[in-house]
Amino acid sequence: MDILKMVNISKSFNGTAVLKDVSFEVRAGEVHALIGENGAGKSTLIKIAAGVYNSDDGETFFDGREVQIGTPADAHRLGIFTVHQEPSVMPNLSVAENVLMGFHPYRRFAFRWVDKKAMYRKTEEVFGKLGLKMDVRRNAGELTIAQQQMLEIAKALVHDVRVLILDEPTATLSDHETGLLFEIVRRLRDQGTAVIFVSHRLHEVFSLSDRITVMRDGEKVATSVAASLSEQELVRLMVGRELRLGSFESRATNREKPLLQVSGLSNAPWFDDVSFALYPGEVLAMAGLVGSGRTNVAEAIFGIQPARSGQVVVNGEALHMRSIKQALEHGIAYIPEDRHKHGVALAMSLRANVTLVNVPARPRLGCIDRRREIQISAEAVQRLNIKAQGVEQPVGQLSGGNQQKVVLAKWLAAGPKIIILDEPTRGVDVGAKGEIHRIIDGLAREGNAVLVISSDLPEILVLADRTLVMHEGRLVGELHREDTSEESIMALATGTAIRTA
Amino acid sequence: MKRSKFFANWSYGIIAVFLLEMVILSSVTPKFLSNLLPMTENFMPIGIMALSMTLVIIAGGIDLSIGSVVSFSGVIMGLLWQHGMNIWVAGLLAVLIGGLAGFINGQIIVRTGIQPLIATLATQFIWGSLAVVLSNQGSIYGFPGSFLLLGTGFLYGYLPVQLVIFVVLALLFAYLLNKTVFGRQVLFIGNSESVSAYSGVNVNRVKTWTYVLSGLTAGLSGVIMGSFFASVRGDMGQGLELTVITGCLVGGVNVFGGAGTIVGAAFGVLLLGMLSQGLNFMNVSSQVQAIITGVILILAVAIQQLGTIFARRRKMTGGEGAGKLRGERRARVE
Repeated sequence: MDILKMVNISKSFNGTAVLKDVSFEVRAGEVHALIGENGAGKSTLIKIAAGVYNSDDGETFFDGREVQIGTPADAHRLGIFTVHQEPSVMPNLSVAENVLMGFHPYRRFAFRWVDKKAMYRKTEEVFGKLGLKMDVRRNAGELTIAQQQMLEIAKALVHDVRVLILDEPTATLSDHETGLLFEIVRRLRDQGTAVIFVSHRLHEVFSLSDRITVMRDGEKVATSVAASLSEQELVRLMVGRELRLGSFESRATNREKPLLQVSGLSNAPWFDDVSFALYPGEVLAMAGLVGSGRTNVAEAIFGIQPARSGQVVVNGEALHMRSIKQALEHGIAYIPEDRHKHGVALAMSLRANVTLVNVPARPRLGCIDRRREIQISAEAVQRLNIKAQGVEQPVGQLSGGNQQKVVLAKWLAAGPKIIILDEPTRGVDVGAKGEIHRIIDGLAREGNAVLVISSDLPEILVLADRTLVMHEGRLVGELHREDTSEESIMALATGTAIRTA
Repeated sequence: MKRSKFFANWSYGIIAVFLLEMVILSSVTPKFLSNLLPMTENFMPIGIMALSMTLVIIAGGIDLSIGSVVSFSGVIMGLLWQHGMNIWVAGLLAVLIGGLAGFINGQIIVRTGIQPLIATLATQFIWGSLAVVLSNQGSIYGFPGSFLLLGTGFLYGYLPVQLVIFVVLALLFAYLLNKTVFGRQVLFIGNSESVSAYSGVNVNRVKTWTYVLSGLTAGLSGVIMGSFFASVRGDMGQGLELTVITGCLVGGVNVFGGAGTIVGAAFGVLLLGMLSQGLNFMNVSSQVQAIITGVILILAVAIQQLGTIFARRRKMTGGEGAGKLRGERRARVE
C-alpha cells in the first residue's frame, strides 16, 4: 500500500518549470529509485516531499489522507526523513547528542538538566536496531562520511521513520561502505519502511531497488519494476529526447600543434593520469558525472588546485602550475562552475566585475583609467548582449544568464587563447544558453582553443568537435563528433561501457 | 535625494551629522569655535590610523595591534635618540619598524590562516609588552625643540602640522582606495575572496599590504605622539585601536568588509574627536564621554543598517534582480 503519494506535482522557479505534472508514489517495504540526468527534477521532487520546497500545484497523500507538507518539521512529524550526500552533523557534539537533536531526555529539576545516561542508552538502542556498534560518546566530527550517514539514519529511526529519502548517498562512499549502507537500507525496507533512492549509479540502482522511476526535463518518463529493465534501456529512457538546440557547422581545426598539452596529470583520488591535447580552433568537451574529477582537472590546469604529478604544456612551454598568474600570462582563462562563489562579486558593479582580471590602468601611479574601463564594459555589454540598466548596475541585480555573461566578459577582456568553461550554462535560461553557445563557437572559430566541461549532454552534442569522458577520476574514453551520442557518453560516464566490454 | 539613498550613502550622512555637531557645540560653548583647529592636535593620530584601518577592514580584516605598535615604535625612536641618533632619523626608523610589525601581522594571517582578530590580538600583547620592557617602565623625554614642532607646530600660524599631515594622508588614502588597482582589489577581496582569487588577484599580497600600511601609520602616530607629549612611554598607545575602529564604524565602514569610504572614516573620527573636545570644555567627565561614544556607535550603525534595509526593499520591489537571484540559487540546487 502507498505510504506517500504525490499527484500531479508542478513547480517552477521564476517562470521556469522545473516539475511538470509529476506523480510519484512509494509503498511500504519497497525501495523506489528515482533517476534522471542533472536538472531532470529529482532533487526538486524529493525536496517537496521533505517540505523544503512547496509545490505550486498538485496534491500529496500520506497513508491515504491528503496532507500539506509545508516545512521540514511537517515532514518529520509524518515520518519522512532525508539522508543527504553530505550529512549535516554538528561536528563538535557527541554522536548521541546529534541523534537526539532537539529531543534530549532531561530531568525536570534545575533548568532541565540533560540526562546524559538516558541519552547514551537510547542512542545505543537505536544503533542496535541498525545492527551497528557505535561509540555514541564520540564527537560526530570524528566519524567518516559513511558513519555520519548512519548517524542520520539513526536520527530518523528515533522518530519512527516511515519514508526514508536517500539523496545520492553513495557519491562519496567507498564500495565497502556502500555495501554496509545498502545492508541497513534493506533491513529497514524489510521492516516496512518506504525508501526513496536517488542515484546516478545505475548498477547500484539495480542492486537495491524494487521499482524505478525515470525523470527527464521535469517530467516523469516511466515507472517500472526494476527486474524488467536493462541498463541500456534505462540509459535510453534517461537521455532519449530530441535535440532542440541548433547545431554548428564543423570547424576547421589545425591539428598540427596543440595549444595545450596535458600529460599524466594526477592528484588521486580526485583525478589520475589524465592526458589530452587541445588544438587551436576546436571545442573539446569533457563529460562525466558530478564528482568524476572534471572540475579538479580544470582547476589544476589553471593553477588553483594542486596536481601531484604530470605536466601542463602551453604552446611548447611547461607551466610549473600552482600559479594562477602564470596561467593568465599564458593566456588561459577559467570560467568556474559556481558563479556566485567564484565568478562575480554580486555587490560590485558590472564595470568593476568585467575589468577585474585586467584592470586598465595608466602606467604612472597605478591610477585606474576609468574611461577605458567604461569603454571595455560597454563593449562587452554589446558584444555579449548583456541585459543591464547600465555598466554601473550591481551584478547581483542581473539574471543568472546575464551574470554568466559578465563572467565570460571578464575573461574575454583579458584576451585569452585557451578558454576553459565549467558548466557554462548551468542555471541559465534557454535563450541565454543559445547565445552563450554561439559565443563559444565564435571563440573557437577565431582560433582559440576551448575546453567545455558539461553535464548537459545536448549541449555537448551541439558544441563539441571531440568529447572526453571521465569516470571516477580517469579519462575512460574519447569520442569523435560522429561517434558522440547521449547514449555513448552516458555509457562511458556511468561505467556501463567498461563493465559490459 | 531619496531617503533610502541618503542612508545608503552614509558618507553624506556623517558629514551632515558632523556639521550639525559643530553648530551645536559652538553655540553651547563660546570657546569652542576659537579653539577649533588647535583642538584637533589631541586626536589626529587616531584619524591617521583610521585611514589605513579602513583599508584593512574593507579587505575583510581587522588590526588590533596598532595601539601597541604606536608604543613600540615610539619607544624605539626614544631609545635610538638616547643612544645618540638624530631624532629625525630615529623617527623614520620607527615608522619603518611599524611597517615591519604590520608585515608580520599580514604574513601570520595569510600564511597560517589564523583569524585577523586573533593574530593581531596576539601581536598586540607582544609589541605592547616589548615596549614596556624596553622603556624600563619609564618615559624617555628631552627631545630637541625642532622635533616637538611636528606634534605642536602650526603652519602659517594657524594650521596645525598634525592636521596638515592628516589631510594629506587622507587624500592619499582616498586616492589609493578609489583610483588605483590596489584599492579595487581591496574592495573585491572584501566582497569575495574566492572570486578575487579565481580572477587572478594575488589575495595574500594585497591583504599583507593593508597590514603594512596599518603598521606604517601606527609607527607614524607613535612618532607624532612622542613629539606632541615631548616624551614616549611603553604604554602611550594602549587602547587606541578600539578608538580607531570605533571611528571607522561610525564612519560607515562595514565591519564584515567589502564596503566603506575614506571620507566616512575620516569624518567618523572627526565627529567623535570634536565631540570629546567640546565635552571637555563643558567639564563633562571622560566616563560620561565614553558612555556617549557607546550610544553614538550603536546609533550610527543602526542607521546604516536601516539604510541597507531600505535599499534591499527597493531592490525587491523595484527590480527583478533580487528575487530572481534567490530563485536562481534555489533552482541550481538541482
